[in-house]
Amino acid sequence: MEARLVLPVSVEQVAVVVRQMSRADRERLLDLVPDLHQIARQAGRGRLDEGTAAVERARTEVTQALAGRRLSLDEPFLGELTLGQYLRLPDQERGRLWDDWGQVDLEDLEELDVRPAALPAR
Amino acid sequence: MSGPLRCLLDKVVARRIMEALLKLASAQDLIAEEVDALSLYERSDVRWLQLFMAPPTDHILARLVLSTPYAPLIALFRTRAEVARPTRYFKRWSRRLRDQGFTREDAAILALGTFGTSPAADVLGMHFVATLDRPMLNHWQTRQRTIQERLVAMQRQLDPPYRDAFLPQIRRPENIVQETQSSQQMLREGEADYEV
Repeated sequence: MEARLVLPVSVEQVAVVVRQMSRADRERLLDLVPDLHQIARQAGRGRLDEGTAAVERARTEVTQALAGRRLSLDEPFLGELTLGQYLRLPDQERGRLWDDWGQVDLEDLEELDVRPAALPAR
Repeated sequence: MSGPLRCLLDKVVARRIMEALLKLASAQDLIAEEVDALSLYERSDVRWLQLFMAPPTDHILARLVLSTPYAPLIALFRTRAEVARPTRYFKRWSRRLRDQGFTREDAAILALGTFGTSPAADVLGMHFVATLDRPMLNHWQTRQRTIQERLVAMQRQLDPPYRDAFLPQIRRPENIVQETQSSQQMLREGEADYEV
């Protein structure tokens, strides 16, 4: 049976260290742990397949929801923008608009009491 | 574990999903992060994975749904994502997280992951918080042990069911997709063994 080493730190902490390494050190790490190449290739392929399938499922749902009609990019969106204008904005700008439009401070909301038998996230 | 896994979408992940739906509806190409967020959205179902959005996201959707052309897309999004509500002790835990160096907004989302519930108030906390915010993710990972200790210390003063609150796992959407696939596979194998 394969003996497994128990790491003295979490994988997340190892990941933080790896992210701070130089490119040369990361390449050296890949040389030292060649399994990582194969795992990364398999994960990448799986993610691509999953993504393609998800997009196709969502496309079908969207088409059904809109009864086959396509949304025009000239359609008015929020903040006096058209849909096309909104989607063409840089990501940072769209994020700022969402911050403006979604102005609900969670700290101002009333705290609810959960039911006594509420399921914890274990 | 009983019941489906629960995942809270942070504001950016929810925006990516909504923008992906808008782009599909207007025949636009998606970017990689939208595909990853959409994969998470499409993973959700009643049995395995339940999605939640934060109240600010719901507030935006409520504005958008007033515009007729977008109403069917908003309805579609809402069939898969419920609104998470803060429970008792949410504010106290949010303050504790701010003490750990999180911004007010990040602390609130993370606190909703522990002291958040469904509209029916029948669950406590989330298994995952989905985020694309790399700095927040890194900060969480480096502070996680201390945060866990703080939660345990706070829980000693609480009554059930709040005493059973857990820290969520903070993950990128694509990681949650992978992890829920593995869990689902294991559960299915367990069910098959049981049936045999």
